[in-house]
Amino acid sequence: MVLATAVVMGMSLVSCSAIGVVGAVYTGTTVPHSVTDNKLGTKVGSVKCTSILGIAAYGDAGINTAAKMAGIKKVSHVDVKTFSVLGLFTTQTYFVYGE
Amino acid sequence: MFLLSLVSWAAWAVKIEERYVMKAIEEGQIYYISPYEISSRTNKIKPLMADVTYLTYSDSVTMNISVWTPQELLADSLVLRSGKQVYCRNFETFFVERDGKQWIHRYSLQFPLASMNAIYAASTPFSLCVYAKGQTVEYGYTDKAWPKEQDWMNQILHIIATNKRLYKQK
Repeated sequence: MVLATAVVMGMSLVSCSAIGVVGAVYTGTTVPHSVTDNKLGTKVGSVKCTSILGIAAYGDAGINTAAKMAGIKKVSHVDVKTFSVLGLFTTQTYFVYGE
Repeated sequence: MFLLSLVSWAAWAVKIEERYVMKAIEEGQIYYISPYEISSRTNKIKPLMADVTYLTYSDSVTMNISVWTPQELLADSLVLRSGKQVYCRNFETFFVERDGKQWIHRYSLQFPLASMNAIYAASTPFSLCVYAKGQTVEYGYTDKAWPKEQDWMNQILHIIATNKRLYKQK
């Protein structure tokens, strides 16, 4: 009963907003987030946010932050990778590509 | 208890394919190795975070690193060495900012893939030194941690080498 409640809470309180397909038990996906007209660049930056038990969530997953970390001035596209187990532990990593 | 084990497994079980991304571009391929820690050998300095981008057409590796220090410490020079061999001295500074109580410095180093292969083939861990205002901050793995770090990076370097051979055959 306690386990079921925790799982339901976790799944309903996921703080990194889910993108694309989401599995109730497990999610391991990479999906496109956004695309621009710029040519596919040769620089990549990534940022991550994490949610634990739907209670605490942290991380700066801004596209601007990822671009800054990689010295990107023109963003070509952004992919997002989601990893989640029962909605209790979720990470989202944004990969920003550009020049 | 089961839930805690599951969550901790989820957090720590990193498969090799989770560590990198490969993308095809017009001129060849990009490999991006997600951020990983390199331990600090200097007291009261936290580990640096590094990520690596490899471009097949230029055969060059770009290692971007985040360095945290209690005071602002803009690097005069930055040296990546393994044994007695120096592999990189050139670097670019992206930015310096406050990050809570620390200062974050973002640097970018560039060197050929052959250097990366040599660094990770060595039996002793490499060191990365940041020299600033007469101070030195040194980063590098311990001898104990080195085989594990070497293993996952060499797996990625092997994938790169295999694809490079395939690309040349076409």
